[in-house]
Amino acid sequence: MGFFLLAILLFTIGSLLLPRYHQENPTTSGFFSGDGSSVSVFVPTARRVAINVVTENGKGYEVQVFDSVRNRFIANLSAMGSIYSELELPDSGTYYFVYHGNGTARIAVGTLAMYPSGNVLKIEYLIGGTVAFVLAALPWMGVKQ
Amino acid sequence: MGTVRTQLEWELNDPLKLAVFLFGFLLTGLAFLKDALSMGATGMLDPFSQESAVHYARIIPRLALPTLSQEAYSVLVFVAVMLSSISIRGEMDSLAALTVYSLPIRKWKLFLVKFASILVLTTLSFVLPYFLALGYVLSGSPSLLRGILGDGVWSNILAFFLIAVFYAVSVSLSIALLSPNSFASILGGLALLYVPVILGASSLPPFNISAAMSSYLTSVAYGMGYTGTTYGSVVGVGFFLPSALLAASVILSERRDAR
Repeated sequence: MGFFLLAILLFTIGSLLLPRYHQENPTTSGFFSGDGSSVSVFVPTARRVAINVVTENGKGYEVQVFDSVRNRFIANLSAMGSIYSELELPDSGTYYFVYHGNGTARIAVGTLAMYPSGNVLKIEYLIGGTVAFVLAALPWMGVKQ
Repeated sequence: MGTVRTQLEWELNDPLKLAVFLFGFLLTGLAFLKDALSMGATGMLDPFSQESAVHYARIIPRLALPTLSQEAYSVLVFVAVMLSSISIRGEMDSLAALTVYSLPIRKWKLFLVKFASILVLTTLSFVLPYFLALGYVLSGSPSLLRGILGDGVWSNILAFFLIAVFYAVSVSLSIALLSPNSFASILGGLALLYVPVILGASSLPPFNISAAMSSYLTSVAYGMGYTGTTYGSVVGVGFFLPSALLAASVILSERRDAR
């Protein structure tokens, strides 16, 4: 029992430390085929991303960012020509980049930094704290191992 | 029955085995955590509508779920081999077997108790970290987590992992039973279970299990109803071979001595 709790505690500490040492900066890309088309990106953690949109049409267009887990639009980028923009994706989930405009366009989404969101940290601290407390109480209660 | 239960408790409370369990739990957890942090999937939806976006957002990420990675399999192999070597050969080498074998239990029952305790410890150290890592990484969006693992996806992942654990445990146990000392048992078990990784054999674990897992996840992500065919490629070496080895080991365990 004690070993089991110890394993969970150490694992929680590991999960707090790992994102700091294991940084990956993946880039995904997609293609907008016309007005109302969208590209979706699934991310497991909160992160800061750089969005690049290039298009050949000279008129203005819009790219809306939709958070499908929390069911709301989180950003609205409008431009003429190409876009470079930095944006924060608040938590894990699937994000849709919706194109409104004429012609076609291409998008690349690159990760600048990834980190656990506040909610994730709250849950990890809660579980880690509870397990540590129970672990500290075990010898006091006289439970072996 | 009482003796068998006492024996099981004794097997499960060996600090040496629990240390191996702790080691396996941590390393498997870190491996799965790394896999979970590098999940990613890209898709396209044309024309965009909010309802279908919300619908697909819970299904398409299944494609990105971590499968049985090579790192996790390496830790699994180490844990299974160490546990069975300690339990079967280490006991004889340290002469503790002289006491254990004088107990009023048949030898094959004793062997099955050892098998059960090793299976429980290995399963706990392998399956739990997966769901814990996934839960930690995605805990910011509980509805997403429920959506991804819902519809029986979690039970199928569990089944694939149990197949991998059963394979590793029964192969390493029969090696431990056949080898003349602990060293040979550890070396032989590691070598036999790790050869498919080095050769890249796609019809043996871990690669056939991870391939079957990803084809299962693909079919479930795109809404294919029938997913039973994905088990076809793993049942042979994942269930039949380990069961045959286990049966042979049970028969063999009757004939072995305490030295």
